[in-house]
Amino acid sequence: MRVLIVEDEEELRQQLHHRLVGSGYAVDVAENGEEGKYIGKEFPIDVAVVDIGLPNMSGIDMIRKLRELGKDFPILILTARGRWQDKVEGLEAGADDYLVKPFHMEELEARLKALLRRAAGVSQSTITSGPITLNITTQEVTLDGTLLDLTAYEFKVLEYLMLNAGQVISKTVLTEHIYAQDYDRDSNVIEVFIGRLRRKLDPCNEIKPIETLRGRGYRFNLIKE
Amino acid sequence: MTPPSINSRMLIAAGFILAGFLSITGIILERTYRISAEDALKERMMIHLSVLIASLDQDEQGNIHMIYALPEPRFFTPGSGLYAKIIRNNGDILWSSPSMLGMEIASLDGFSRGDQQFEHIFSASGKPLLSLSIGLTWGEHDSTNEGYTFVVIEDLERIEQQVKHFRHNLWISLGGLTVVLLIMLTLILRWGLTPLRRAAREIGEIEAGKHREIEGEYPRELSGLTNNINALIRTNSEHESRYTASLGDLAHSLKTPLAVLRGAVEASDSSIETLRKTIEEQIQRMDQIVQYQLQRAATSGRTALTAPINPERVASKVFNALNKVYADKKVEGNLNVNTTHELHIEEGDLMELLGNLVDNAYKWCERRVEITLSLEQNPHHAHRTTRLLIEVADDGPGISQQLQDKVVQRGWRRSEEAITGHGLGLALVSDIVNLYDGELKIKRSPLGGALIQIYLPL
Repeated sequence: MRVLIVEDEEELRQQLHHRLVGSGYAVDVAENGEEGKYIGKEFPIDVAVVDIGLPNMSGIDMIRKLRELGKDFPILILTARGRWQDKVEGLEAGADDYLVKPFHMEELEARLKALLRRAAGVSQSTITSGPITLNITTQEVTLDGTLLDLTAYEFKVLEYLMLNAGQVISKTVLTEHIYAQDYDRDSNVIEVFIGRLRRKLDPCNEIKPIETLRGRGYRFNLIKE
Repeated sequence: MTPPSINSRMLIAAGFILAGFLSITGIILERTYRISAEDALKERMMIHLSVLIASLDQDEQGNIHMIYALPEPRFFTPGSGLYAKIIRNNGDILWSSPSMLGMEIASLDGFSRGDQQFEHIFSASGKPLLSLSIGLTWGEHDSTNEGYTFVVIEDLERIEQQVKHFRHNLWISLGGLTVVLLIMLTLILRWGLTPLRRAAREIGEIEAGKHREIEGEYPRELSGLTNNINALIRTNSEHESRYTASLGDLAHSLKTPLAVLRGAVEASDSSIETLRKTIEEQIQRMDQIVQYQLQRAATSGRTALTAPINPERVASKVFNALNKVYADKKVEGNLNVNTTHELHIEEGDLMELLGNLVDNAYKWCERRVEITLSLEQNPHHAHRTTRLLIEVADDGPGISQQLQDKVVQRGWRRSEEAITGHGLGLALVSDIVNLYDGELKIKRSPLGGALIQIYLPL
């Protein structure tokens, strides 16, 4: 999942960046509204964390502009002032949730996950497809109740495919949502991840959870119980 | 450059208007005077002419003779300014008055019987003259050729003199009148602007610290302004004391967690884990203290200048915002507004009040939240005034009696306590309600959880 952080305070920006990268997100950072707007407009962002009190273009203006451009990814606003007027203004401008500074990083991550689930139309923190269960909060995947050993990137690919189950996801889209902007990409890596995921999720080649559509991409097919 | 004073603006404007008005009046008066003087002159010339005609008669040979002496001596004094001529229509001058001696005046002749005409002419030496010519025939003779033209000429210099004299007097009186009127206007303005000058002086004295408010009685046009200035001063000083109190409380209450932190750091025997726990606890405590005190200081309170707002608009904003935030919880929220009455409350304060109440309800409810805004007659008040009633009910666990007592009790040093859950929001709500002379009640709701009732005077 690709997250955009717009925060002018360098220390906090780095803490957020560090924490979210550690949690397996592809992270883009911006230190002002203009830059944030540019990244939000040009890259396939899945969720954004925006500080309201930014210099020049305020966070609220930035959100309003992104929404005007038709960008509908969920946005979490950070506010230093706890006044309801600020929160309501931010939510009216198009944000989806707020967090008052100072906050716990666990709280921030829980909110981001909830927003991502909500955006994908999933209300619980686990997504189940036949024998496969993916827990967004604990980042664990089980097959018939047995915990699978997935690498961070394998998890990211599976999470993105499962949150967008039923949709065809191209390799490019998948790469963009897994890697941050300044990362040197190699689309062959995706094929490697998919291959490994198939072996781990479906060792006997029975359920075929990830379908390859030649020249178009991949599709995760949910198996309803 | 400082803009001109009200006094000079009014005087300049009035001066221009007066000058314009009086100039036009002067011009009209002068013209009327000239016209009436000329009319009088023409009447006199007609009389002279009638007398001249009456003094003549025709003999049997058809020659004209003056049979009476003319009564007007000016006809006989050379250069007197009154002249007469009788011209036969074949061009012969039959008679000209001795006053014309040495003068040459070209005049019209050849008038047929009954024709008459006034004409402005000039003498050979350039004097302005008015001539009256009239055509006449004697007896049965009716042809123009045998007729006579009688001309009476009057020098206009006399009239010019009169007009000039009149003009002189007129402009002197009008000028004098202007000066008198302007002086009167200055006095009126000075008297009219006295309250403004006094208000400015009083404000100056407030600035100098000699007074706290504007004290004198002011006319109706100014009393709104002076009352509002007084209200602003009062609000400002209330704000100031609230800021000071909040800052004092803030400093005071932050010392305790800071002392705990210092103690924990200095205690040599504490483990990293205990230290981490203590720091975490104290950060949370300090955060709540800062949040509470700053929000309390930011609360505006009612002022004389608070514009009325529609509570439904604010309630809808808060309601929509919270529905978005709690989308995952699938709360069955209901907002019922049974009034369109406007409320004199600062929008930020009402939003803070509703935001905290509704947020608490959404946070603690199982499924249902009911928000109702309605009007209510105050049964305790002698005049049965109307109040706005805000009710927020949920189906959560409700509020403990202990917290209820604390919140409702005034003067609770909330900053001293660790405020969590319902507490912080309710403490802020209680502050705002007190600031607007409202009432806060906590009950058990029919839904099973808490019911908060807020009464606010309109």
